[in-house]
Amino acid sequence: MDNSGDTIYVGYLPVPKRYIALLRFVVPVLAGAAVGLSLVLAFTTRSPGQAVWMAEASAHAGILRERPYPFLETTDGPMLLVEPGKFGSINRFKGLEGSAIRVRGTLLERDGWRAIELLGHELINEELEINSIAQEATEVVAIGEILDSKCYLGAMKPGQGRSHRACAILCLRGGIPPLFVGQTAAGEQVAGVLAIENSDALPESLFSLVGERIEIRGPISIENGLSVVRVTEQEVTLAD
Amino acid sequence: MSNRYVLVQWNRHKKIYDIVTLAGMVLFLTVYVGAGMIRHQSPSEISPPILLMRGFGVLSIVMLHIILSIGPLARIDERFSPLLYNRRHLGVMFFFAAFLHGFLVVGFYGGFGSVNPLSAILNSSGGGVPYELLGFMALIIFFVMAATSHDFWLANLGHRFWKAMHMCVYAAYTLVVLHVAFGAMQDKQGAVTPALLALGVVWLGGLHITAGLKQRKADVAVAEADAGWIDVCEVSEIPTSRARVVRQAGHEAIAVVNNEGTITAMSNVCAHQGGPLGEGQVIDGCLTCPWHGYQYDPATGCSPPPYTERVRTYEIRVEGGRVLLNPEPRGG
Repeated sequence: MDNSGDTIYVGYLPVPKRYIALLRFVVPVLAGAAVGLSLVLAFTTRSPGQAVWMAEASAHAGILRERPYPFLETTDGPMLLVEPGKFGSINRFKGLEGSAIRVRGTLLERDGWRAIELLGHELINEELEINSIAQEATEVVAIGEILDSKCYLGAMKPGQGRSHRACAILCLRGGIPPLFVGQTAAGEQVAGVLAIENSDALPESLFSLVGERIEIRGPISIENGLSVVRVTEQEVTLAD
Repeated sequence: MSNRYVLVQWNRHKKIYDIVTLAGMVLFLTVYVGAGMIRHQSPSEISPPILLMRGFGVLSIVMLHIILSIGPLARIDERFSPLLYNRRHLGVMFFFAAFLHGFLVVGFYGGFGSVNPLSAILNSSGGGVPYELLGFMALIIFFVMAATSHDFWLANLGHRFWKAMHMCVYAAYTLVVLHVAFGAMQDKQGAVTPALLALGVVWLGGLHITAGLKQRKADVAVAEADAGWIDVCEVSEIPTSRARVVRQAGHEAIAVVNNEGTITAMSNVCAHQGGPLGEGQVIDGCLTCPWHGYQYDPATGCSPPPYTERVRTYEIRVEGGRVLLNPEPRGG
């Protein structure tokens, strides 16, 4: 078959010359556009923020606090206690409020906040002298996001936003402490674990607000070194 | 063409097509993931599974735009038809990219918890737009299309039903646009993602309208009320070895063929995949479909032996240099 002139392209026959010329132009242009597009998208992606999940396990001693969510009061500040996977540690530490314990696990850290994914724990017979900061409650109105503390502190990067919502809900449902991070109208940063009145965990009714831009109104205080925002369900609403 | 089913009827063009496509996919992912790792380094790095799931997501959308562009591009300029020839393979590879995006989302965001990972993803929308569900619905449509892309399904479902089913790609595309607009786009800063998404929608819309207008101009349109013989055009208006398409509302489109001066007419719809026979060419005495090269004798509508495909033929009269067509098919 003639492969020149105005012969059309047929897949099982030799490619006519006029088609080859266009393909030699189109394929490299497409490849170049693909590279350019992937570079633009990669370089305009928002940074997930600085957070670290240590690869190596470490041990930490402190006083166990069960409320509002299990955390370890240590000389270096509070450390939220979470299980492997998307589970909190409420069951593990039930009835151990005020006990001196040593936990072992991998540390997650972000903006001065710490959590540890537990590999194990033991009660210890030591007198621990920990002088944690305490601060009286002050009323705050802030706009921000409800996060699951484990992902936000470094288990997933980014561990916030609409795309991460399903994961955050799963974590919170599993008992991972909820964290509120936002700012006041004056631009002051607000961060604290979110303690809901009459509830041991984030209530189901608030799951729809996870990953959304929300407004909270309530007192923020520092309890045994841990920043806590205490609100009722009604004091957490979608921001305008 | 084939008179039997084989998994893939490989030829040199298909192999080159698939190799170039796979190389392009690997190049895109490598650059995206590599650039993402260079741009965001420890302690601000993006988790590798998230980088990869985003990479597959973006790759899928880019491939979907390319796939949907090929049809109208080939109509506007037939030199794009080599891209159309193996489009089904491109579609299947696109499905795997989209599937891997979904698989990573379900496994990473929905896994490691107390509930079924898929259920965790699909039930997480709360009161907002369920963009995860929209993406899942699109993926189901793409799966059905990929799974039924083989000629076996074409032959057994019939090309009309098959074609109609595969036109659902436009519904799936709409779902994908909404999936991105109400999902990932909400997390992005700046106008890059919305601008690219809007550009994609406008590009595809513009391309389809342009192709439609070009086709309308080239074809002979006939009102439904015009019963009896149709005055198509002058014989000289049909180039040698080419055809003109006659469209009458409520009737199948008809290709009026000029085979070395002999004018005949047959259905414009290829029995294989419904391709536009009238946009093809007479090669070796047979009208050849521009999509996959299926051939039909212009006089009988039959594929040359040993092939068994057949399309309807129509009566033609040439009077005073004008071509007249009886729109009723031969044999009723």
